[in-house]
Amino acid sequence: MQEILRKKKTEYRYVGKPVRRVDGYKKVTGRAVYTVDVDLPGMLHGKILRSPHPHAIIKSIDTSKAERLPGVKAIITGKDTEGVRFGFVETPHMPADMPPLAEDRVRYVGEAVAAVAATSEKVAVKAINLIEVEYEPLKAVFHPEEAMKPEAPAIHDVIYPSGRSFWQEWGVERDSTPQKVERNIASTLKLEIGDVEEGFGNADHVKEGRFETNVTAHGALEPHGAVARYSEGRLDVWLSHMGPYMKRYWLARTMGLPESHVRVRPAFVGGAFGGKIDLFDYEYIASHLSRLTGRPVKIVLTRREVFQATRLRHPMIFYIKTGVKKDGRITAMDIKAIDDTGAYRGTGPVVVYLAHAFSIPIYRIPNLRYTGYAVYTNNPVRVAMRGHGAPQARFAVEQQIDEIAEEAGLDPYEIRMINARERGDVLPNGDVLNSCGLKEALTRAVEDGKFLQKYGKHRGKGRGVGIGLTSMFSGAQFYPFGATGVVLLHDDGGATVFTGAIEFGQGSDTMMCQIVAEELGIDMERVSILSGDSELCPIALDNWLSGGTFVNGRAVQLAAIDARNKLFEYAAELLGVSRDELQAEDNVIYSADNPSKRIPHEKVVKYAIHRNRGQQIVGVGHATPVEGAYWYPSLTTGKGRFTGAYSFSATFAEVEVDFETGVVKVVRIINAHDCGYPINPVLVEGQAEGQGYMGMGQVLFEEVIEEKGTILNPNFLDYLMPTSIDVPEMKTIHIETHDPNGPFGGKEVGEGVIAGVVSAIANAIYDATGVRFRKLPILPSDILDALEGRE
Amino acid sequence: MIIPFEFEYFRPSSIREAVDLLSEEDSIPIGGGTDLVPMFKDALIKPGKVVSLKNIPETHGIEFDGERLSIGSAVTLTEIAENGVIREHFNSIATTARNVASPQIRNLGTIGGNLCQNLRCPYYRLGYPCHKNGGKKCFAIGGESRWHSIFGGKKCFAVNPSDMATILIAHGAVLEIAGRNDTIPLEELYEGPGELSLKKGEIITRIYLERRENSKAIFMKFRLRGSIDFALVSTGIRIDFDGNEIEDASIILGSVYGTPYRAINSEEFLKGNTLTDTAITKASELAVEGAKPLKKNKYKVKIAKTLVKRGLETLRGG
Ligand SMILES: Cc1cc2nc3c(=O)[nH]c(=O)nc-3n(C[C@H](O)[C@H](O)[C@H](O)COP(=O)(O)OP(=O)(O)OC[C@H]3O[C@@H](n4cnc5c(N)ncnc54)[C@H](O)[C@@H]3O)c2cc1C
Ligand code: SF4
Repeated sequence: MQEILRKKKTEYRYVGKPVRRVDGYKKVTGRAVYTVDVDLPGMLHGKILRSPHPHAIIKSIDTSKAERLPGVKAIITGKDTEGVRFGFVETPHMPADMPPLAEDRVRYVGEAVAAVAATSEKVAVKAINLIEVEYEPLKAVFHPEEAMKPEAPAIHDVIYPSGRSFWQEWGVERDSTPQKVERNIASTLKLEIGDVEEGFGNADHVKEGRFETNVTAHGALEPHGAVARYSEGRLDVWLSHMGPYMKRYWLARTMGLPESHVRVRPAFVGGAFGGKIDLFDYEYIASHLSRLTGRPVKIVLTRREVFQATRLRHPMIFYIKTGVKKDGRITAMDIKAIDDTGAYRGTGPVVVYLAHAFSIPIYRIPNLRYTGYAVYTNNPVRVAMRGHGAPQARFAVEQQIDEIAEEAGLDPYEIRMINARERGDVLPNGDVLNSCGLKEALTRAVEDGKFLQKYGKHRGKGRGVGIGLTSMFSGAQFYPFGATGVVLLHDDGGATVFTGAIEFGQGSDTMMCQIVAEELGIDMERVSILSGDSELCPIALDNWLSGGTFVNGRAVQLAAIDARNKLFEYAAELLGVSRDELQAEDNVIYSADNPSKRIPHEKVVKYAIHRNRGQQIVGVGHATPVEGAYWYPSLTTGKGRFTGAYSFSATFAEVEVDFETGVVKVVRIINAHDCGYPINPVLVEGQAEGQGYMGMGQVLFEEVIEEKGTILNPNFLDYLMPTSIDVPEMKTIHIETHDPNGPFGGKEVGEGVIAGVVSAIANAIYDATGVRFRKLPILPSDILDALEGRE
Repeated sequence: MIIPFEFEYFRPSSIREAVDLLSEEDSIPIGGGTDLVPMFKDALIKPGKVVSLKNIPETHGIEFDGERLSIGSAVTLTEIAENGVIREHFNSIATTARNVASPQIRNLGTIGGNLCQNLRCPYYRLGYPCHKNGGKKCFAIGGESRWHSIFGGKKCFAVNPSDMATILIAHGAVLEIAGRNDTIPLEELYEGPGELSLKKGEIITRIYLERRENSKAIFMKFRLRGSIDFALVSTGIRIDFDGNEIEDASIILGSVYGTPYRAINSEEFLKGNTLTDTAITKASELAVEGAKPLKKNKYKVKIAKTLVKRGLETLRGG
């Protein structure tokens, strides 16, 4: 497919502009229908009985009393499932490990043990309270380093594959094997680049440290929920989620249905942030209960269930050693990462990989050793959350870089400029940085914040500045490995975009419509979109893969170009000019050479349909994250191409610390972000700012407090997320690098920035207090303790 | 989320009726329900009869005769925060109300409910079988004690979370209780963590306080988040001056003990003194004298001290 680039950047009408959200009107007028709003005739309500124990054997379950309660239509336990386990990760050697309902054992507080469908929520709650479960509590373990000890209780013994794995379906001819779990280690990643010992031998300064990050929660306003309707062998579901393909795949597997018999319907999503990716017990349970009862079933989780029984951010421990030359060049780095992945694998193996993969595009490190463990504990299960490994890794690495710079007599800006990567760099895994605005972002953030004038000036006196760098991928080779976009032209010249990419608040729908309006030369109002319907839309990467613009947007762009090419074919015929001289603007196609030769889109489309055997113009486009790569990188060796483009950002943070109360006040955050090209600058700024306060929350007070596997603050009153009052002054600087493979040069912006924010604030707190904090969050009590120690 | 049990709901229009209903077994008064309804949902309290106090004329209205302020117990926190008379003559009370919870909760939540609100200890709210939930253990001891008492306790170490109590006690507020002839000092409402001196069937109808000449008051609240957050430590301070000299001082600490905590030593010390730097420092140290922090709440001692110091400095300043 030939792409004809006709316009210069300055001539864009819709891309690069702060166009209003296409879904905004529905949302502000309350017309948007979220999953929690879906109400179907004859619908039943489901409730789940969850384990109060972190680790126990289920000796018996007695449902007889509940069954006799009027209004109860069905009750299920682990015995009633198809026996298929699911999981975010399933590879030939790491079978999926999560049963949709506990089988004979529970491994975390909140694990689903039984479920009820009843005529009302009230009856359903009464019924689950009537179910009697006899447990035999087992020894439990809650800290990953404890869990790795030989004497620790084994949470999983042997994990058996449940049927043909996903990889086999997609062409990897390797049989799945059972996994014998040793020392509770869910996965191990080991890699070495260069010669680390030699690298440290050549270093003039070496620094070592242990860093630890916190469990945080996504805090999406809309609680998790599902409505399932099973009828005539087909399953229809409304879910609150981040991409229909992961959901459809696992619903089909666990329910024993062909994929095409599962339809994930579009619904508005009230926030996700990584917390609504993989299949959840309640989604399977609603589907199963609907099949049993023949009626639609709705389950909406309570806020406490959302915290305790869905997913949380991975807390990680890092042991890091860095060596640099006198001049600041990094000679070696040795990282050991330990992830507490909770009672099931969740995304553990992935976060361990990503903490590394999101780091290598930042600094040139000739000799690097990385060892990572995802470790089972009896804590709630962890999953992706904005940045997925990056905030954890940056918190550790960016602080150590500052520490070693200080020892080497360099400032934090200098040492980063010396080691930062540039465009054209080839990463150890083969990925190429076709665009890289890292140094420019760093310089702009530092200049804008007057970092060099301020740094160290008030050291230990309550005011400080810090910087942090980060990078993020733009889609990876994970199911469904790419995207198809479809653009359909209507007889009035309007267009509809079809894409499996889902709008969950980030602005995907708006961005897609902008791209299509721009490429077709029609008004935005003439473009409508149907997105995220697994049956009516062509595939796209699930949007948690951060390929929303780079891959899904690219597919839609190519579809629009394809439609335009077809349109021009007919227009050339009608106008009697050559196709190559045509332009489209303001709903009119005209000859660039002779602008009086012009014809509205509408007429061309009608001509195509009317005089050419009903040929409605349909444009189709395809895109994939990494050309020529077909698999996700290895989660045990880190080998393999990862993504087609990295975005970069640098954060400047300024803080004030009150030594008498220990309160840290973030005064200012500046994010300089290279998203390639901001197709919608306001949406980009929204993403950057949202990550600004999410990152600030993670450092200053967000903390899921787990005690023996039970969350003590499972609500929005006690789990403290910043409110508008807490948000500091924030600024986004756009760094445009125009990635050659992104639509209009665009790439990722949704989740990288937060990691820079977390690390910049941590570094600023050091500058203000003179004390290095290596554990998150950094609470007033920690500051007061540390200052007391210093006195 | 639904309330998983059945109850009868009453909306009496007279005190008499309300008291009769509340004298029955298994009944409970409700104001705005912002504290109670979430507890119903979690089945922590399962009354059979819920009696609203919002339909009774005597529990409404804010009146001021130039000397005495009278606030009905069903007056909402928003009404208090926005009331002209309170803002003019008792601004520290309006400020306190404004710093409670969120606008939505203040619109519903009543002053009576705020003063009588239940403990916030997470173990209690999550239904752990602790002393306060009919069990035999305190989970905060040896567990997560960051929010708890710094002045000890008997069995329970939860703190009284009411911001309004802190400032109103500093102002010397008294309560009118239905069925009793005399008012009682608000301070005497509190007997221990989650323990009130109200007997079955007794409700607060009004709150009174006197305006004093040459008196200044302030409320300070320490919390991690700027809004919708309970105090980790708060203080309500009122100082009556005679020229520069302190005639009387009231220093109440909130969220540090099972009841609002009167810093009696610093009050005594301040009487007859002037607010010099040394006096302020001394008074703030005396305020936390005898503190016995638990494993994870030492920071609250330092913060309490800082709040008292800053409160006194502000009162001196303007
Ligand atoms: C998210 C959130 C944040 C909050 N933050 C704060 C805060 O920062 N500071 C603070 O001080 N409070 C805070 N609160 C508590 C809040 O102020 C109280 O919930 C509210 O004031 C209670 O008023 P209500 O009328 O809704 O009480 P209800 O829930 O109706 O009742 C509370 C209790 O008082 C009893 N009661 C009510 N009226 C009377 C009466 N007249 N006589 C005797 N007993 C009575 C009830 O039986 C019940 O036990 C917060 C609450 C929430 C939910
Ligand atoms: S502090 Fe009180 S409410 Fe909290 S666990 Fe202990 S006894 Fe229960």
